[in-house]
Amino acid sequence: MSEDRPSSACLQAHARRYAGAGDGPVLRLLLILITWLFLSIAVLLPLCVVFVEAFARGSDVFLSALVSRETLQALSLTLTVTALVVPANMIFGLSAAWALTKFEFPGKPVLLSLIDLPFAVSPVIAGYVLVLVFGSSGWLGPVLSELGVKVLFSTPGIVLATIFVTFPMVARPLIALMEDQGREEEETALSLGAGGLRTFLTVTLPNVRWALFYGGLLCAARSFGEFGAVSVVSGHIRGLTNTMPLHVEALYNDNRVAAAFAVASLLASFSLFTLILKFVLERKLPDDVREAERVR
Amino acid sequence: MSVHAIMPPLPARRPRRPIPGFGLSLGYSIVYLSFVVLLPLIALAMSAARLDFDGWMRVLTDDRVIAALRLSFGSALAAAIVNSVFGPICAYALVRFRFPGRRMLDALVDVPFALPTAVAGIALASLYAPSGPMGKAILEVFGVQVGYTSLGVTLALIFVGLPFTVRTLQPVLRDLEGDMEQAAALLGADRSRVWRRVIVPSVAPALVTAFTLSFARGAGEYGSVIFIAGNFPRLSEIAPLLIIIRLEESNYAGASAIAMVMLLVSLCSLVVINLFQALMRERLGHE
Amino acid sequence: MKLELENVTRRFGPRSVVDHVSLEIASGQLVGILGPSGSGKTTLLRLIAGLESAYEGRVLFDGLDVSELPLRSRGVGLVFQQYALFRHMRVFENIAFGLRARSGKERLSGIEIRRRVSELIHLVQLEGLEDRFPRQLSGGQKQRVALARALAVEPRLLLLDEPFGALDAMVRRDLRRWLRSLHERTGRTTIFVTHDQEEALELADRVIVMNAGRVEQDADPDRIYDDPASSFVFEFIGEASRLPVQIRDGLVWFRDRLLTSPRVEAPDGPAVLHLRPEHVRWTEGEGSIDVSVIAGRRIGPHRRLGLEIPGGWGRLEMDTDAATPMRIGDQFRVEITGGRVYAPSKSRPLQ
Repeated sequence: MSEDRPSSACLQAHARRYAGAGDGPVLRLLLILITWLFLSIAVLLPLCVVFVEAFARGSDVFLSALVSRETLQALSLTLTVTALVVPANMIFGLSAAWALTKFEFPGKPVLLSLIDLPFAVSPVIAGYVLVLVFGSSGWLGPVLSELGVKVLFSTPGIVLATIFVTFPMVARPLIALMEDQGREEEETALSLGAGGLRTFLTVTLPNVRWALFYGGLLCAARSFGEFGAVSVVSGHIRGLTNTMPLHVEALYNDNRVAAAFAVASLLASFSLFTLILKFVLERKLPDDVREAERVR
Repeated sequence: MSVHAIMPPLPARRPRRPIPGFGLSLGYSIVYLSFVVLLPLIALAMSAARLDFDGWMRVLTDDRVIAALRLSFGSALAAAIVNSVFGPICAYALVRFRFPGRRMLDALVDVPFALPTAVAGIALASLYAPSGPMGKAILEVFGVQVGYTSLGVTLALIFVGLPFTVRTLQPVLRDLEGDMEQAAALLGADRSRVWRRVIVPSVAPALVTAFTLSFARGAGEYGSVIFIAGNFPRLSEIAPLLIIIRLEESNYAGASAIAMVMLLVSLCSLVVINLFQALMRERLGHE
Repeated sequence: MKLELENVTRRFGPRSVVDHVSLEIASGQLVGILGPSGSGKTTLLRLIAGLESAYEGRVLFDGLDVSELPLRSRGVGLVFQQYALFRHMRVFENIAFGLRARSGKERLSGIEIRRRVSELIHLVQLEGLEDRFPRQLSGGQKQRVALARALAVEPRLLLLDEPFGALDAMVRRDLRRWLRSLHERTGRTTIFVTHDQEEALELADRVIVMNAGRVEQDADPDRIYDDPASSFVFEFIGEASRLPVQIRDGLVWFRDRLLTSPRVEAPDGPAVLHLRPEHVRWTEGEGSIDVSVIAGRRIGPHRRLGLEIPGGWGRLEMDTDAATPMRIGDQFRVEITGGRVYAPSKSRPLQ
């Protein structure tokens, strides 16, 4: 009986042959070539074009496009919007994660799917529904304009549209991580006499800080680049309600292609920078949370 | 002390939650969600509900609307199919093999997520427009125009959907490495059998998920598409753009109807994958 | 501190996880709550801690109802199975947490906190590890940090949930003895939950056996082992075999043999006899039962034999001297020298 079985050394050799390096050299080479070609054409080429076109008319055009009044105004609006959206979403993310992970209550799945919803909604629809609520014939539009508050075609509308498309980016990693960490540390802190606020600030917040930064980073990157939703609510008023991506569109449609790519290259550099940061932050998160969030 | 003695006995008790802040955190979350998501979506539903049956028929039989919806969903489907072929190949090569440039290519996969859609949009447009370098080359060699056609739209959506497939499949393939495959090999299965019986069945559920995600995302995509699409009515005009056009015409009913259709299709596809995943989990759990 | 539970009930949906439990625990006792998973033992501990609230009934500390008292004011020290150390704080800060959380005139100076924490670190023998993070500690060290942290606030009651569940056997044994001596030194009322009967019997002054949300037996370890109150306790504590018997006129009959040793609480009719290995003895005499050996394994100084009664009448276990030569298939006769037949209400049917 036992002589028919292969020896353990033989088994291991067998395993090596079939596992990791199991594919033949031709198939290997073919798959690597396809990967190189596909990713180069689909991703690398467009990325390079941004920087090549930006300098196509020389560095003078590039620089003057970047320091033009309209560009600077677009940049300042984009920064303002990001500076409002990121903290708002962080507070919401912490609040939603606290409610969803520290307590049991009916309707939890409904709340969770509501948080997932923006991933399924076209950004244009996200902008459009805000017009329905805050537009001149919308539900809140007339009331707010009586009060002198202008939402559409101004900063509040852009902020709201950006929040709609970005808030899950902060909430989701926080929920995943806090679910992972459980409640026992908070329960212990309370049993030691700490109050709710102290428990939150000294126990919970330090435990989730990397996930919070991570979500905030994704949210900031998207806020910088959000186009569809903002495009619907901004009104495209140059030098006033144009964000950076809208400014890129305006320049491109005016046939000022080099200027458009100059501004675009600035945005692209920013997003490449966030990718590096994201890569660094991902190492601070537990594996399961990281895998779950990479796909979003 | 005596304070407790004079306290009246309490009747049936409300459960007390040991961790504080339930009301505050849940209340704030609900208010925030209501203003940001719920209220606007209810406004959309109400606006669409104002249309009667004839109104719906008028909107939905308008050939411009039909063409736009067909373009958005058709290109999203085509792009998802292309990505379901090349995505797994890329994921497999990136996980399995060590080759020059692997780390750079792996990092590149995240670029479509990170790059602002408008930036991607103008880059693709200037590459694939009939006058652009790639567009001209393809036109001369194959006689096919890419820019300003549905082909261009599909191309942009391939770019957008690529990370979904690669990033969904990578962890699955990484888990497969070693254990399951080795087990199959040890049991004496040859390579093609390992592929058929182990690799493909394990990867298929993740692939379906990735396919649906990239389809749903592609159908609603705007920024990376409009520059390369050229936006000729009935030919290369995508549905999200038509919503904006209807809005600019102050035709709210028309805009809401298209938005509703798009929203329902994406929601349905997400519900379908959630059900599918639950089913897969159950099947794997019972085995 | 004296702890009383009056008819405490906790339901999750229609299921009562803790079902009308009443207990009184005197000050200074070390009590083990023992039960299989799902018996409600952890929920009972959480009810005492204030992590769950009772659906019915009251929890009293020194005669005062604490059911409405929030967790932070109860003065209970908690140690969880996975320790729940604050992962971003060093050992020193973990232990000092409760002292720093004090406010008003109970507030302590930095020097005072330092002094108290050093005392505790000495008590749990962790000198030199003050600046480590939890992830740099072994399981046993984490356990002791968790204990020191809980003791820092001088809790009225110390509650431990599966305190040794995540440790390997050697550490577990040492820590058990150490905890016993710590309790003897501090005299603090302590309750721990475990599914390990050996742990409960060795460590506790008093063991509460739970099953399906109810207390099956509440007694000192000797009583629990020698006089189990129900067939559940009999089988959960130690080794047990079961034989089908008939009760006639209050006497136990196994087929045509009268067994005089077992205690009988059951009415006439078919019943189940519960036996421990020490209740089975080798014999040549009258009223004995034929058996054949089907298994043997070494348990400490003894060899435990698995015996089968020919004809499919049941299986028994007995202990013999390890030196006795014994082979599978050997046949001999045994007599029953003890065991118990429980009333049907306290018995589990033979499947």
